[in-house]
Amino acid sequence: MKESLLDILCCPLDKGELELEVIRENDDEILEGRLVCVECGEEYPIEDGIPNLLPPDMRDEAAA
Amino acid sequence: MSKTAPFEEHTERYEEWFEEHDDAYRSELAALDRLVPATGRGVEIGVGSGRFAAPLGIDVGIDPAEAMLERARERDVDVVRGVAESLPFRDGTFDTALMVTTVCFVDDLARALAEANRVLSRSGRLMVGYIDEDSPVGEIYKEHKDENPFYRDATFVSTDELLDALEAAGFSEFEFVQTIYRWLDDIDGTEPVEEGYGEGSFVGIRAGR
Repeated sequence: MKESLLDILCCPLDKGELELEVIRENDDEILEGRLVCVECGEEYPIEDGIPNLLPPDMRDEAAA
Repeated sequence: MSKTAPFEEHTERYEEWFEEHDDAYRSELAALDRLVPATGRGVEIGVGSGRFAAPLGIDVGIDPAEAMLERARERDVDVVRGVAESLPFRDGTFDTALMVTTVCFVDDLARALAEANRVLSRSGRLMVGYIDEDSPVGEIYKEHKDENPFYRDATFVSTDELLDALEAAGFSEFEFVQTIYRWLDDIDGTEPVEEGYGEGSFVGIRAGR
């Protein structure tokens, strides 16, 4: 994801702002990282350049 | 998430539909192109592989199916994994929200429409494209839904049902376009796009507030 996308994203649960933690990036995009809600502390992974902002219960269901 | 699974498993088949039904796809695209403004920031909710967002100039796409999003990303859509009922976008972010053949797959239509309303700016508009339950294609889809991995769990809607749901979610000032007047295999060339609804199998609604 492009870092500029952060300006429009929020936590899907409480709509709180998200803080970005970058693990791996290239010139254009963040490839691996985390988005952390400043309100509830929930962590959302960024994997293969795609932020996963599914509500956490659905994320677990999808992985199962 | 049960409705998402087929989109993860049958990405190839989903893409093939568009290749094999090019005239239908182009007709749907032409209908939506009449409704979608050329300017402003847009989001497609249920973006799939980006077959509509990319040519319509919609910047951002959200979908629960990761395999679909990888395709949309290749089509230069800024993709986010998530669901329509709990959108991870801030209030008033978009000028355009688009939902194409998505209303039949959401778990909670009322909540999805309320969320679309929330992320739209004050002058923003929602565009919904769907197969009308009471139409030539809608009738056949319903009859054969058990044979289709995508439509098995789908809930088809009529235009009147959808209008009730849109009004309940705070939308008004509806405009309609329609296209595809015959079964998909009988189409030869793109079908005409007309105003209104009731004849075309694919209907597009533009809604303000």
